[in-house]
Amino acid sequence: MAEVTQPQLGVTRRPAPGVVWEARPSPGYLQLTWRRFRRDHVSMAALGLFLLICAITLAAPLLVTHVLHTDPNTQDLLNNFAPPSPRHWLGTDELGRDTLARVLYAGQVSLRIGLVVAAVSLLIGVPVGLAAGYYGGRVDDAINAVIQVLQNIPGMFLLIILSVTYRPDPTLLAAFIGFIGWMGTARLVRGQTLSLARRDYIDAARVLGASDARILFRHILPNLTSVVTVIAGFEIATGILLESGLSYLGLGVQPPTASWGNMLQGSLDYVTRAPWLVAAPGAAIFLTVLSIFLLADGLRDAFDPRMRG
Amino acid sequence: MSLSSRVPRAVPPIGLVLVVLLASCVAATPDRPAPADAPPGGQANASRILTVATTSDAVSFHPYKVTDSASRGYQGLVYAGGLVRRNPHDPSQFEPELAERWEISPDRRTYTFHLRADLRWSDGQPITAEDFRWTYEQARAPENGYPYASNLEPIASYEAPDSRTVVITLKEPLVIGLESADVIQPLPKHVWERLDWNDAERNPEIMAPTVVSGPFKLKEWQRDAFATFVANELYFRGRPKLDGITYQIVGTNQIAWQKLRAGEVDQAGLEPEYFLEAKQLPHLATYEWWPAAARWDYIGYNLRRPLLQDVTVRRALAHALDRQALADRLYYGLAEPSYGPYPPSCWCYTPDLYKYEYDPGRARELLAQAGWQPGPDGRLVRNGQPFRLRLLFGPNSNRVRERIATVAQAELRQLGIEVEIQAYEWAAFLDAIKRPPYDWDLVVLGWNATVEPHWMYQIWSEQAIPALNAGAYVNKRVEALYAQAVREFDLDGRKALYAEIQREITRDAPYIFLTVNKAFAAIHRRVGGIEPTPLGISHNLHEWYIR
Amino acid sequence: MTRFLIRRLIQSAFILLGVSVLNFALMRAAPGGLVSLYGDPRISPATIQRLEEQFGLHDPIPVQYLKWLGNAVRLNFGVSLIDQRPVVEKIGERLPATIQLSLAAMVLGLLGIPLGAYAALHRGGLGDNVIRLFTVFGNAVPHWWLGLMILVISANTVRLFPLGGMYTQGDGSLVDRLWHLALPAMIAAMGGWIGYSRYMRSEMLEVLGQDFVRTARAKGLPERLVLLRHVLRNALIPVVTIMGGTLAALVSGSVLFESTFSWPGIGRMAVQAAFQRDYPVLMALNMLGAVLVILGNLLADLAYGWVDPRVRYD
Repeated sequence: MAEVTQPQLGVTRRPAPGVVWEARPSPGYLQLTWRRFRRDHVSMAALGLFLLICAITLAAPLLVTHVLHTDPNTQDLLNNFAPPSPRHWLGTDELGRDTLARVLYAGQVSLRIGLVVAAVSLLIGVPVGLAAGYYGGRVDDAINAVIQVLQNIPGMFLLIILSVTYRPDPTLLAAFIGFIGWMGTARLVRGQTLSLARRDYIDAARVLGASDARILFRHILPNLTSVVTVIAGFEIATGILLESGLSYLGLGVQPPTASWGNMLQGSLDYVTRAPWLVAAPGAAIFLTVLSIFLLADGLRDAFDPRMRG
Repeated sequence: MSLSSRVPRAVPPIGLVLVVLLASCVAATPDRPAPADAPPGGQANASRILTVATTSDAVSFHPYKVTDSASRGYQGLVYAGGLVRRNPHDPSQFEPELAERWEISPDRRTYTFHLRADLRWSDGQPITAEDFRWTYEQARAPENGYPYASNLEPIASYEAPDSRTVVITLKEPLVIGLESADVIQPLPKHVWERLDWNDAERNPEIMAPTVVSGPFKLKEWQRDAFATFVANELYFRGRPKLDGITYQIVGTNQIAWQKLRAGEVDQAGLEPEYFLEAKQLPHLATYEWWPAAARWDYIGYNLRRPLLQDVTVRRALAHALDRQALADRLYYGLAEPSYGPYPPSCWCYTPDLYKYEYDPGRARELLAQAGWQPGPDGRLVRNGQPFRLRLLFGPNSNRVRERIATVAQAELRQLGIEVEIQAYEWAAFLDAIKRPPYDWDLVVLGWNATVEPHWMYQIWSEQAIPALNAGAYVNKRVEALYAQAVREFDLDGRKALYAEIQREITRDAPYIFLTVNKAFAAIHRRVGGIEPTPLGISHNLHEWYIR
Repeated sequence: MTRFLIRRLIQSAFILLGVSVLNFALMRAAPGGLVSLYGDPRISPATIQRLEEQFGLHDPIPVQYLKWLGNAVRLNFGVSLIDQRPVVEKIGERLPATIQLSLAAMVLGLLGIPLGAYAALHRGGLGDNVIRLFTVFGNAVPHWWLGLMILVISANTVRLFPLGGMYTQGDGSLVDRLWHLALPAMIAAMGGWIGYSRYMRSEMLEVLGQDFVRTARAKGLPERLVLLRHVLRNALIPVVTIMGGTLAALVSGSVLFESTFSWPGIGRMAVQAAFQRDYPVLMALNMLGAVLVILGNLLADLAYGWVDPRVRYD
């Protein structure tokens, strides 16, 4: 498993260490990046796929009502485990609910989880990483110690506590996942900040009397755009994958709210009997995470052209 | 637990077991054995060893320490049962087990059991009345922390006047006297006496018994990997026809099923959905039976909630669920609708009960009577308050409960009632339903009932709140009827009392009774001698053989 | 060096202390108690009281923590609340299985480094693209699920892999053990392959573009020496730093993989203990995890100095 990829419960979860990011402030930086990005067919395809998934998921209520003419919660016990057919494109589940409709609605939950995980992880990880990298010394030591302690808290218990202190709410679950996992983000940001803070132009700014806040927000933070963008991508993907792992242990999104993770988990009993129940959420996770990873890869390459494959 | 004549005595018949336990301890509990054969790799047919895949390993072999069903299964293999047992074919009757005969004193308080002459521990020493008495004394000692110590309370004295006679005197004469007296599964005094009762460090017999009385002896136990048992030559019913039994402890239900499917094991704990698939597989023989110890599912009300204290509302909700659809579709026909606290298979059952048949129209009428009227959006309102319920189920891994909850939610929504479902991990679930603030309205649960109808009094008794009576149902008349029935020695008299209890409870509708469930097993065809009875299939485990 | 180690040790002790406080607090804050007692309604409340007393669960939680701490510093982690056996013994039984799987996965995972180096040297070539495809696809499925699906497919078609477990009962030969280890180790190593190869590839590309490499080449140094002495060595430095986390990640990953592959290790034990609320076992396992994380970080730092002689410890 190694840190990079499949995040595991509560411990050592770092976004993929892709690259040591180079900061390169220059006018038109973003335009240049976009121009480079556009030339990469794979990345453009990934972007297209990701946007398509987002669009379909957002439009799920409309699509399900007007195109599929059903509802994710409508049960039809007499027609359970129906194989794919023109009426139910991806078949039905054990309660006769339309699998496609459920996958679409679950997508809203899963994508929201990904986004919230990324947001929380960045909201905590970036400032903490900035502080550690910029101030160094005692501050850095203290933050490091806190991170090391937090890396060792049993995420599982947080989630069990969570499961009773809240009414079923995937967003809160995601916030907790993000809260357990911001340490990796902080470390990456710290590393970047550390190298930026030693640059001549930062020294120059300091000599010119710029305040810490000004240096951090005007000079360092903008240079972290590329890192942060890529981390965000990885965190979204990570959040979606992690939720599936938690569902496997029964600690993910709780039924009857559907997420891709708990649909995947719930379908395991029907692998041989109703393979479409496994395939649908599996494919959804796969395509989404794939597009996000490719997108993040492409962005990283575009930000830093020397890395291009 | 269904099967079980084989459940060791240490868990006496008082056994009301939350069905949930099964689900949480998972699949193949040994007394619902599904042995499986063995060696992967294909020489399965060469071996006379039954191989079973299960997801939960035992904790220990100490019959007076642990409470999990996997441990009880292992213990049932190595330690022989009690003095008597229920007849597997007619569970209302008792037949000899370690005792060859018994007498009951005229005042019905003293039971004298005469042990068989041929009882031997696996080391050749005789099993004596003293073993029983000594074990009883240990179990009774408070410092030994026997979890089911309350089972010993009805006993006034426990004596062994000679090596083959056990005399047990009860505090009062009860219909259930025989069961109350026969609560000890003996341990070999000559071995255990020198060892520590509590500390496994100083008593190797706790984790690896060497001197046993059951059909099998422990050969090897690798925790979380496998446990192997071999036939006990000195078993009092004769050496088992199997050479041994092996439990493979696997990580998930899915793998257990795949192993059974692939013929790699002879038996595995099954979910209902797998059972349907198993029926189609030529190498598996499937067995179904209605267990005398009925398993039934229900939705319980939290009667601490003012809203649910209104019996009209409870009756309305009872009319709202389509039990036949549940039985046919969620249990795949392995269940039947149920309307009262005792299953039709019990001698105590009375058909003369009000049945809350599926009838949404009637449900609406009753709700209207209780003051609940549909608002403009179709949702029920009373005094401006919407009708909202919070339904819990657990453990969250229990797929059947999840489906019941989801179906109930859909059906109640039809009536205009909003149901919020919350699933819990098992320990948290127990906490949620049994500890303040009792923030729930409905709970999906099940009971593994007892063969003897009397013990079920506990789930309706005020004293058992919240342990067995999580919903806090109180009806003094029901409790009085139970107390009367257990002292009524005339069978017709008892029947009348139980009929009245059933009428009283159905009138109160403290539960929505849902289904009574069948027991089932799928076992490799190479295993013969299996005979389903109301007590299950493991009653004659020693006669199972490999073809 | 010695001073560095001493400082790190002292620091680690404080971190462990913090970890233990947090763990203890969280564990006890979680709802639910000993399932073995509360889960069985036949156990009378009085009996439960007595057993809880016996287990020391009636003391105030801070007192319970201090008692635990007093014993833990003497490496006494108490007895399991489920079977009353010493926690150390229980963990000792299962640790070898976890170590076996983790070591195998770690070693296999290191193959990602040469893969990444190869991809960098043949940038844009077929090999590079195949590796990239693998890393991207491999990242997009939950690995526990991939493992389970391979098992199911294998059960229903050609039996390429056994259906879990460490060895065939009654066999246990080396070949048999390796056969059982193969799939779990590969699935657990996937993270390593993907992570190391991606990281190594970009590091190599970075180094290849730097001046000192060009200088070395201009000096006429043979390409092989350039690569070995300059490029590889420099590219490895950052890779080594991420190796520290691998150990801990493997141990935490064992929670999922051990269930999937019926592996009798501490990961499965941890899940069971969590669901049963077997506090002493959980505390010991959590502390073990923390020690591994800290150890991993320390080793990474030391390795850093080894591959990069400029780093000095003081």
